[in-house]
Amino acid sequence: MSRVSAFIEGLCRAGAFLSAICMAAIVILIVVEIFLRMFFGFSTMVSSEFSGYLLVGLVAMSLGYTLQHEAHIRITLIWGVLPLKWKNRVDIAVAAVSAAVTGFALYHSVLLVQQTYSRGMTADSMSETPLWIPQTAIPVGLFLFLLQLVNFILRRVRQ
Amino acid sequence: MISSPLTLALVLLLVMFGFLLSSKWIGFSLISTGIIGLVLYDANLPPVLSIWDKAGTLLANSIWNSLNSWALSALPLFILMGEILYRTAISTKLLNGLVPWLTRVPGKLYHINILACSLFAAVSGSSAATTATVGNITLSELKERGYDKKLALGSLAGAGTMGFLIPPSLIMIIYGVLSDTSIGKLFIGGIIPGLMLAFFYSAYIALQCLLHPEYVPVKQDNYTWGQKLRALKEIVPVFALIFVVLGGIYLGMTTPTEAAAIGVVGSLVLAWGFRNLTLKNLMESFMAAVRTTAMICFIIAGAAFLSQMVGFVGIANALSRYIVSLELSPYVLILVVGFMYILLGMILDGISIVVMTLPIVLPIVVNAGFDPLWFGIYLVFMVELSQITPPVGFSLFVINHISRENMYTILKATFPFFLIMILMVVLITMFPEIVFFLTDRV
Repeated sequence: MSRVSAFIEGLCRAGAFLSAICMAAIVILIVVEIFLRMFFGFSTMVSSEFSGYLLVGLVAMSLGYTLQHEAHIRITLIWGVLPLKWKNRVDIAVAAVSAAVTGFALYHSVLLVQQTYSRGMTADSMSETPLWIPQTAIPVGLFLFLLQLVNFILRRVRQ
Repeated sequence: MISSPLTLALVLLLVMFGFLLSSKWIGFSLISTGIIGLVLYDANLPPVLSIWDKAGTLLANSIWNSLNSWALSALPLFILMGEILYRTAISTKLLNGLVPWLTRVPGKLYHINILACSLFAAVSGSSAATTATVGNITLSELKERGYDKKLALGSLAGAGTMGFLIPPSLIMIIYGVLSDTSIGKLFIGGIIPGLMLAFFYSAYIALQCLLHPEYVPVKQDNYTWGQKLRALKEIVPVFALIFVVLGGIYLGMTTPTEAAAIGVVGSLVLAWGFRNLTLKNLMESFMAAVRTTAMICFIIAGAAFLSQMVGFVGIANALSRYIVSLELSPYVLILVVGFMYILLGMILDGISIVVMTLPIVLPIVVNAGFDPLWFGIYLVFMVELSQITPPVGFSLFVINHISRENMYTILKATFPFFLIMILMVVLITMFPEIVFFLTDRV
């Protein structure tokens, strides 16, 4: 069981690493754009468009990792005064419902990507980026999030 | 099933608070409420389309559309900038640079929190980051020099919240994206209210120290003008950073997102100059920024879906019409809205409050004749208040963590500063020119 946890946490860390790369890429993209505009009067034409895609990737890929670090906020006003046993029970219930919601979102985000792909939808811009490419980050990220929620439950069941 | 939007709104409000208080993550609470709203609603859908499919499509599209945003990409960059600066010696430099200038002012070093927070707020977009970065250094320094802890804690709580008011500001970015208001103008609109608030805080401190001379230790450090000017050298890098980040926006040369990218580079240069730029610090900054971004954006995506639902089932419309039918005067309306925000602020954090309420409150307020730009600044004040109202107030948690004082002491110390902030809200409501003075001139 703990090997499952370690595996899930490793996957989510890898996801977060990709997120950090997305973040760095946004900075570099914009700095290059400003540099080109200032000194050469030239624009890449894609910096604002790609920043949006990179933000989607950044957020999606790190949802699970953020849960792993207990960094998604929740109101623990009532939870905080419960005895440990009940804290665990409430956590499991809450995470189970959240996992169901994530599964639902995951299923429909796969449909969204499929639809975008089969209709050949592209961005309304110079680059005409096929939109299914950046959209794919959403189901992948939600899958990691789902795994991490399962891990969250497993850890509490074992206690 | 429920067909009246107002009844549905009431039911959903209960459902949402049920989820929130159950300790379910805020983003999930919002999404679940959205799904339940759609399922409960008596929708006239063609029989081939189930309401679950409708909900799923709306959800997937909301996630994509709310995050695929150029303006919102300023958010992770300003967060990253704050994380990099947090790991530098910037707060020590601010302290060293400011202390020599304060020895002759009534209240002396108590003003350090106000000044350092104002300056740090001008390079940081978040109140928690401002409070933590400044408080980490100033609280122990003030204690060591024999200053009374009450004013020290209170002024830190009050001034720390200016992270959201003095640009750059994460709340303004989020509000600007959701309400389609110019983020650059919001940034500019926050300057005068921010400086006024800082001035009132300082005036209160000076007054308290004149009334209670025992608050200030007798020991007098004297600095010559040469020492004062040399000390100023310590804060020059901070001013330079403020200038490159905000200057471009004010001059209309850069968008807020571009300014944020410049700010990241600037903070890296500053960290390098202060000899704090290590690989470990850099990695930690990135990972912490990734977590905060994911946390905030998950709530934004959840709220985007919720607002789609609220529009689809007609709650936003019905509620707007209902409020209009009450024929409240604009001032009464804004007062009611203010009370609602203070109540919400007691249990929710600022960002959640903004994204959850905006789809319903903004149309109502704009309908009553308020400018969205002005309301943005008003909302920032509401968020600041939520940071220091118990039981859930992030600035209080931060101060509790760094000072190790008990919550009751912190709350008592913070209360006067809470009142000053309310006074500021009243002032900008009576005299909206405070907000528009600079924005009309750009």
